[in-house]
Amino acid sequence: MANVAGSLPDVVAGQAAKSVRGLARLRLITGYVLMLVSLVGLFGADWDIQWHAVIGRDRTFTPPHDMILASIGLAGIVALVSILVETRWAARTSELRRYGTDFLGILHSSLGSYLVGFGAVCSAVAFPLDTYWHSLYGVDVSLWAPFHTMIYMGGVLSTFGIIYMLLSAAHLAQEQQDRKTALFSYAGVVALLGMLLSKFSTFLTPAISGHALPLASLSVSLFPFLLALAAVFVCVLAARLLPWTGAATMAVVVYLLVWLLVSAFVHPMMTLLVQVEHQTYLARASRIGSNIVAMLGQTPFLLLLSLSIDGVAWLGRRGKWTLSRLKKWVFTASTISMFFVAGLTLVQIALSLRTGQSSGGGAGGHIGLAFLLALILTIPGSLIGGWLSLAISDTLQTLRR
Amino acid sequence: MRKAIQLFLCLLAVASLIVTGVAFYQIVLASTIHGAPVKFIDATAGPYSIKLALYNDPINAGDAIPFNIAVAPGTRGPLTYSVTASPGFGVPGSLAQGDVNPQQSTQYGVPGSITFVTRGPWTLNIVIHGPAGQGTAAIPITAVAPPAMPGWLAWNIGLLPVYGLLIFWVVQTRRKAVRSSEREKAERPVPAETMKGVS
Repeated sequence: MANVAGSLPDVVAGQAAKSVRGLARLRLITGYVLMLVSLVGLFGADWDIQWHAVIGRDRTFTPPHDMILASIGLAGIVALVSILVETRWAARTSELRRYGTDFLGILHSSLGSYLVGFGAVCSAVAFPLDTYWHSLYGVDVSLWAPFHTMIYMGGVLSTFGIIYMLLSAAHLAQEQQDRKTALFSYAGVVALLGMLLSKFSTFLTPAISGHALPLASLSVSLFPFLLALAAVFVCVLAARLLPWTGAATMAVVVYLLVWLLVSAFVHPMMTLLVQVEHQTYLARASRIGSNIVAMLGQTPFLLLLSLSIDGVAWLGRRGKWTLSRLKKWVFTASTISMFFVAGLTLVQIALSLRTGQSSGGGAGGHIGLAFLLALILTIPGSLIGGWLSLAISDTLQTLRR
Repeated sequence: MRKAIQLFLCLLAVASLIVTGVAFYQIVLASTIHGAPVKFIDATAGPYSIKLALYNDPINAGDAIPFNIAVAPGTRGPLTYSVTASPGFGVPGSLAQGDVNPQQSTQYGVPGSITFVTRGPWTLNIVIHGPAGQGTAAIPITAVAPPAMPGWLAWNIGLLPVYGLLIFWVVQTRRKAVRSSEREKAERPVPAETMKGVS
């Protein structure tokens, strides 16, 4: 009798451990499905920017729009299903409740699922609003229009949701010593951070041409500031969230792989669809040439930034630096390397477009000064990006839900 | 308080999705589900006399606009149709391709649909190929749009996901701070004087 009484808590604990392990795996699978869905949306968005630039916009349901809409719809559905499944599991095994977040006292799920759902709703709502905006202002609406921003940021929000979900899976798996699940979860986070960087870089495209900071007779490009903000944010986040040496570089490598995939995908799809739909190219298509507009702001030079951040993190780990010292050096390394990355990228873009306008050049022969001022803006960009990622990664590490 | 916010968010999401569904209906399904035509336009496409039936008046920019093309009775042989819309002077639009379904035929002619992406004057070009040769009809059409939303309102709606994310992070940071202080309190050693009272 005493034996039975003694073993009962063990059995219950064993079942709970099994359930927690199952929960980690469920979050891992859901996270990977959502990541694929998000990748479809990313391809659709890059293709759509190219479509707008060289074809225009002749209806709401173009093939690239269909890809974006499918991605939004699927993300919403998968998030909803995952919330319902986790709620059911939590109802059956009360132990699981402490690994989820309560919503209205009815639903219990990972915080990430709610974020993905919110992002999907935002993007879905933005779609008809964007059609309305185009009906007012035409096809030449910039990527930085209110409802393009809403669609895009909805996608970014969803990506953060998936990162939360996979981190939670990794933490749960580590608690249960399920190494495989933890490994795949962290690998998913690396991939998502690479995709996030790709999304941010695409969204920066308008800063390359047109949107500049007027300063006396100069026109200073905002691109270096924004690139520094986005790139340092993602790279520091990778270095802080992942327990691996070289995490920031891994994220940048994924970002470059996405770059290659989009390069391989957009051109043939454009050619094919122009033929199938009997479309005609706009006059500016000849000026754009073989550039993929959405990727003008993307650059392999970001490896310089990620390597410097990873290098500092490695040195800090070896030398057992204090956290404040490590943060100081990460800020310094990222600011210096971003200065060079932004400079090289601006030169690369200028060469790619074969025009001096895109390099943030000002009027009246002040191109050099405008270029220098634009580069100086990388300093506040890097500092804000680094500070934001430190604040967010701290909460992410503490709240493991 | 927390539940009230969650309820508000939930209701807002449901309401937004319903409105979005209605908007998508306008954009897509309205071209296939509609009543009788409300406007007829007579035109000539080379050797063919045609009657264009429109189901919307005024024509909303951005919506899929259904139409029917009826060729004058007595025209022989199979006909093929191609419909495009070119933006008028000063209209920031690109060439729009229409869909025509010659396999179907209604009492008003062959059905099709087209989207005028932007408000303003457009020219609807209907090209007909048949045994009598090829003919093109150019029909002027004006697309209208709802009143413009103020820029500040549009931007605030557009930035909702960013606001959502920022609020979420602020709440998380505060919750983290509360947890950390609770943990610190729990781990703090109890002073010796308090222990004396206990023993």
